[in-house]
Amino acid sequence: MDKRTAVLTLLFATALSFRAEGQAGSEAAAGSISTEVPAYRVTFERRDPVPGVTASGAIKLPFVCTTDGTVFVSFLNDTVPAGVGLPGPPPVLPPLRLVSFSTTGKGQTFDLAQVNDLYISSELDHYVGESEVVFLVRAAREYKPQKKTYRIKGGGQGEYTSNAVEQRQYILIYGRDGTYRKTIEAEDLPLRIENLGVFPSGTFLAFGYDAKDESPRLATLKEDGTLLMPLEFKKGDVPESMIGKAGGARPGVIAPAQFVPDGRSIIIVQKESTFPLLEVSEGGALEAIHPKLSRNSSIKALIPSDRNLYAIVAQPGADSASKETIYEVSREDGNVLRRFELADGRRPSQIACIHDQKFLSLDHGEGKIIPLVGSAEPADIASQQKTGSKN
Amino acid sequence: MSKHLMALAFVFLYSAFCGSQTCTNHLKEIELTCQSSTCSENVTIHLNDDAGPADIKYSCTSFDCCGELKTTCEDDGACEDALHNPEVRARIDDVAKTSRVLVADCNGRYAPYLPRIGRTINLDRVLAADRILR
Repeated sequence: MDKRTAVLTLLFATALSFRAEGQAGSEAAAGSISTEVPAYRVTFERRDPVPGVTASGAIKLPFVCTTDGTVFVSFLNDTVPAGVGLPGPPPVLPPLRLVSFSTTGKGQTFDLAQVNDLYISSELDHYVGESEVVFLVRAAREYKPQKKTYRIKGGGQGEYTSNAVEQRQYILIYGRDGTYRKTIEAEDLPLRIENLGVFPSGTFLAFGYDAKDESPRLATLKEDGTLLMPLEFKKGDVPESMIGKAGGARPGVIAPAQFVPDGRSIIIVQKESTFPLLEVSEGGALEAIHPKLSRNSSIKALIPSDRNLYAIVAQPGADSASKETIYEVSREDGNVLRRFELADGRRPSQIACIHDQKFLSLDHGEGKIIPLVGSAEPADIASQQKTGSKN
Repeated sequence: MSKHLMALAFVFLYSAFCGSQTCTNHLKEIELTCQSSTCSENVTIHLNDDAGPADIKYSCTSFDCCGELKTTCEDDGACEDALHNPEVRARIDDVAKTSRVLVADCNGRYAPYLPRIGRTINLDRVLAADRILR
């Protein structure tokens, strides 16, 4: 290597080194949000089991919560015990059972079997409004069993039975007391609905995608399920396609979203993406909320709350749920206000809602629902109390 | 070999070609939290979502989530439509000149083959015939 080459190589290596340090530095700075905001520690108290309702070992997230602190939990019904040689459940959306429990410990089940003129293949979504609970289901008026197969990784095939009759999307309306009220057909719409919400006026909000080009679509629907108004996104607020493409995140998978009630509006969370939260008003106005989180971190879910936004944030590169943190975010300016640590190894996604500054959660093993109520206090005081009690 | 037998033989040949794929429209992501007296964990699973044409090939696996089996699937790429292959089309067209041919879709359902346009008719109308072949 001659002198000139050696100098150039050295310069290039030095430049690379500075560049790498710069990136690490900026990421460290961006990642320092967790040390800048005040930390709070949440400790939990167990309450008596909720009478009259049964739990299974698995819950489909997210939770839904109403302004009075009633928690709605979607339990999976298809329990197949591990280790006894049975095949796993079929690769289709599992049957779910929605159960609610109030702050006073009253339980309620919302049974889809009350709908006796539909063969429901799957529950796609549910939402709890002021006076009603709405389900979005895929169903048919007839049932023709059809055997289908699926490939098992590592070899072999599994088999399951599905309904061969053409499936349509229906909206089922229930009262808050668990009574089925009516069915609305949601067809001939310019979108395939993935998430459904209802405003206090009874107008529906539907989010999904165009079946032809898979672009995201948002619309309000009238009370009879027909189109009221398509809503336009601002450029850059949503992905170009709602289906993961090869080379992108999760190929073939529909981009998951969450609807969270927020007063008279609904917030759309585009889960684990770089796209903003979208607040949709009853009138159809869309406003993007950009929480000021560390670079590369993303919102996994919002915890329903009666005040600020509480975001479950996944840290960059973290696979484990233990790397998730709850941040309180101001809805006005997106500033991060507080960070919460949970006691007893509880994970952020186990928090159902934050009502009246209490963190509502539950345990659901052994068939019972046991409510937990968490209280937050500044982490330094909490650690002092912990040390004091040890001494 | 009689005409009918010939067609039937082809159906099984074709079925083996297509039936090795299991296809869906999309996969849907679901986040679960599992709990037992000794365990608590979160998992994300992907399940098939038959809301439209079966375009993507998938395969699944089961795993233990706090003592309960759960299934999750992943995208294995585009589902191969044999009718888009000119050689396969030509072979089916040859047989279809002298016989009525049934073809299977990627979900194992059969429908009569229409030679000129190379497409099958509405599958729901032939489910009765479909069952005879199972």
